[in-house]
Amino acid sequence: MAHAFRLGTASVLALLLAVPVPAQDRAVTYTVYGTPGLLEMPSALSADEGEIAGTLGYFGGQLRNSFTFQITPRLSGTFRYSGIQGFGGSGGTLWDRSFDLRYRFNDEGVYVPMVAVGLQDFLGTGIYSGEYVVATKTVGDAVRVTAGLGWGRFGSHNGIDNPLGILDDRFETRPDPFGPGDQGGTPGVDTFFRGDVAFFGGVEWAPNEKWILKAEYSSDDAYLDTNGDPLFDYNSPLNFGVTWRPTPGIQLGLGYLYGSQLSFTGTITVNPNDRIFWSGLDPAPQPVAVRADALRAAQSWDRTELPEAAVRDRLALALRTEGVELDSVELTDRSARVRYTNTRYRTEAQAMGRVARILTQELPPSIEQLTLEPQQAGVPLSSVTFARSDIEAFENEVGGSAASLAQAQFGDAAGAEAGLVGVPPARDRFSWGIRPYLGLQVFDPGDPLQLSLGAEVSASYRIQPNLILSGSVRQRLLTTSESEANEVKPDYELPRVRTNAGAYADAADHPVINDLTLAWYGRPGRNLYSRITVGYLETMYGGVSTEVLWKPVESRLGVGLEVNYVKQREFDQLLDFRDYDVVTGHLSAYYNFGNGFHGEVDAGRYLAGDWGATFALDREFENGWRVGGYFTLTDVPFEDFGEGSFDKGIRLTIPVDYIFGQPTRREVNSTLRSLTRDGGARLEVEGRLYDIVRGGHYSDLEDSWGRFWR
Amino acid sequence: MGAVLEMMRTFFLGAALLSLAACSQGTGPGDAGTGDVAVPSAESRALGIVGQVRTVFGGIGSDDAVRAPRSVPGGFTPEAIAAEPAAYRLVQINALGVQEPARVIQENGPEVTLALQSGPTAAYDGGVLVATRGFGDDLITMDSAGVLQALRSGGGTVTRRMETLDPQDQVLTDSFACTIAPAGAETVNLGIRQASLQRFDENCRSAGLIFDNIYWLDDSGSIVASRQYVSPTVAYLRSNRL
Repeated sequence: MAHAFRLGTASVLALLLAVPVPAQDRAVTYTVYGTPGLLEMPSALSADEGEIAGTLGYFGGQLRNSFTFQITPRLSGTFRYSGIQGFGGSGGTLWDRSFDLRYRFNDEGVYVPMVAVGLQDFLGTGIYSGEYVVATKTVGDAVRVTAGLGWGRFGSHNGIDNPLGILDDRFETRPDPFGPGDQGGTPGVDTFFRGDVAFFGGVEWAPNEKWILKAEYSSDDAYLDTNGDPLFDYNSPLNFGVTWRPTPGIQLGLGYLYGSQLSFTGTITVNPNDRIFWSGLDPAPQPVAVRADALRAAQSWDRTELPEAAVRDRLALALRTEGVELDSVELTDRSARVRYTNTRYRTEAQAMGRVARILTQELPPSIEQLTLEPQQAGVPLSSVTFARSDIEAFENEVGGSAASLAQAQFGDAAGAEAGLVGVPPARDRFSWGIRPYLGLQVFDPGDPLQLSLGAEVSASYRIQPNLILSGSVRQRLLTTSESEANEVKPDYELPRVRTNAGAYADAADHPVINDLTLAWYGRPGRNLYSRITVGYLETMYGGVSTEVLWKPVESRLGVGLEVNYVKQREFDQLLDFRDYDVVTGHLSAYYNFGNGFHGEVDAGRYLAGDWGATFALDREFENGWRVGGYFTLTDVPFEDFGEGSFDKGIRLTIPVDYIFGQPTRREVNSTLRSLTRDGGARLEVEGRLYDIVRGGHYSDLEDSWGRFWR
Repeated sequence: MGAVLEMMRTFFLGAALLSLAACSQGTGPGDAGTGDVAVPSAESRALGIVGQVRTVFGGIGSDDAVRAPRSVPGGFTPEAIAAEPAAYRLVQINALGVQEPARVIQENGPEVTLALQSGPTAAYDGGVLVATRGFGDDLITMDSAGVLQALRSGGGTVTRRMETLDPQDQVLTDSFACTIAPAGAETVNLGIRQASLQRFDENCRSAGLIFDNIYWLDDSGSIVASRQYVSPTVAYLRSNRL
């Protein structure tokens, strides 16, 4: 068995006796650049699909924070934020962002190595930019050999003429990707695979499952500052190191690079495909009650014996045990329709399964047709109809999940209020909370990591289920931000719509109003959803935000229109506004491609009055994880935008039920922008419609239908 | 008078059963080793830490989620068990350190769902385990077809399908080749009485998993006690009638 934990690609398939099947460990370790590979040099290896790796690497005055995501089994992407001491020659540290992509062409065969091509730092300022083609082969079950050809940085030691020169003379010279006045951040396509090419390679040896020894020949000797002086003593192209994996998910590395420098790496990996708490620590559901055949044939029920009000009360009470708030009920002799809000389960499919079971327990036996209408923010999202006999037949049956989905009828729930009888709400209209918050502002060149910690008091009052007054007040307790970086900056070619974040942070030494809004949600028509939000919408803007969304229940496509009039808030984040106001809004298209990919395009006018579009692609896992990237192009010229040329970044959503195992609808969201600038900046409003609506629609229900009978 | 005595007897035995549940170190008969299983105390400690972290980050305040306590009708008092012993079972899961009474909360013909005193449920079809919920690593669904016939006809082979949820909540179906064979008569401790029962062993294997179930049948061919596979973490669930 031990061999299976080493480098072996030949799998040892064991018959497992009551032991979970671990994802096969191929000992993928990360470089100082945070990519799968040797020490500095990449290998052709891919991590397991879905693996997210955060790496902190340091050597020779270079600190590299990297985030690598294995997007598909063969494609991976890396976002990196690096500090290079003394790069400007004056002793100062240059902070630099970079993006990589790597694609692996094939799986390793018995004799054929795997081969990958990679682009490093293809979007940043180009300091780390280089391209490579690399092959990796496992030998035996503990040794792996890598050899590659590199361009750019990877072609800077013992480079030879570019063999691609045969195709075109222009491949023989590599233009400087970062000319004077260039703000960086655009793809350096015209430099790809140009200039000298050099060989690199190395060997990894895993004597056991916890240790991996590495030796490499590096083709990179481009560690020079802007004056062309070396950043450290370069004595040798040979690098040596060791990686220790004390426990799955953690890697610590130590190396000796270029004959003079010690290197340190620490990597934490997490994979949404490895669930900690199996399929969740959810409480057991009520079982289905199956009606006797004689009762099933009944055509009506005796309302003197069992009044409708009693049925409604019993349903409301039973549903509360499942975290479901009953809104209203329609009962006939043969059918029941319930409208409810799921407050507990991440997926509406699971809540639906629980509601359906309870309906079989509580409804009179003559009722055969069950219609479930999940709602959120007080608006119904869809109408899903089951035959009660199917629910009775499919519980605890192999194939029951697929069959219950196939038999269900999906439709819109708009405008079907007639017949519904309301039930008193199960929750208090008023709710409140005090929580710690962590503010994170990164990538400001003057102060790359600003942390603030404080307390947030939030409260909400539901005037109607779809009319909600809510707000939060924050008091900062600790901050790492330095005041001199936070002075109010004057306008330039663009109004300062986002880059005065420091002034907001500086003024926030007293309790501030984080947000205070009145939001109204509605269903203006079939397939249509609406929202109007008024108030202090976010920390920097207040005003009116309006939105309409078209999204048929069974469509993969949604189209939204958002129009906002907002005014910039005063730096003290109390009630006052500054002079700047703007009409901003977007026409948005959302599309679920299936296979776990989701795309979004938002075209319109941004906060600085600039016109353009944001393109986003997310890898969405059915268990709630999302990892995505986006970029925004507007009519602001790249030179006016400033460093980075245009807005781009990555975003991550982690469902809290994944972390703790207990069912909850909460999730943790984080967006890493390459740099917050004023061009392409969008208003942040709570409760945008698509995220509220999609959970009750067919695509999302189908993705998570395995939880219906969970 | 005899009926009253019988009531009294079951009452005290019900009380004994509850005290059994309180101290869960005992092992019942027929518990073959379950192989590698989770260490419950370490696991519960880890869950405790998770709970604390959750409290810190969750903060304090009113909860916006709807909730209401669940209760098992009838409950688990000695009086309740004594009044209706046929509605109760004794359940034991060594891997989780569970030994407690369970009550029948739903009967749909031959399909019976038990709720353990601590909350999880287990559904049996004619005594053959078909699903569990509330244990975390649950048995999502398993076929029961053919097992009872094989038991009643003295053994045989059955193909059984098992559904699991993968980490992305997709339903996976595994097929098991199961061989059921008689293993003679045994005296089985049912917690409050001993019974002489016919033992049958079921060996099931798929490409990646092997498990061994045990069924004890009375003279009428009903399953009175069993030890059946749930999942890698829960391993085997033993249950018997009183």
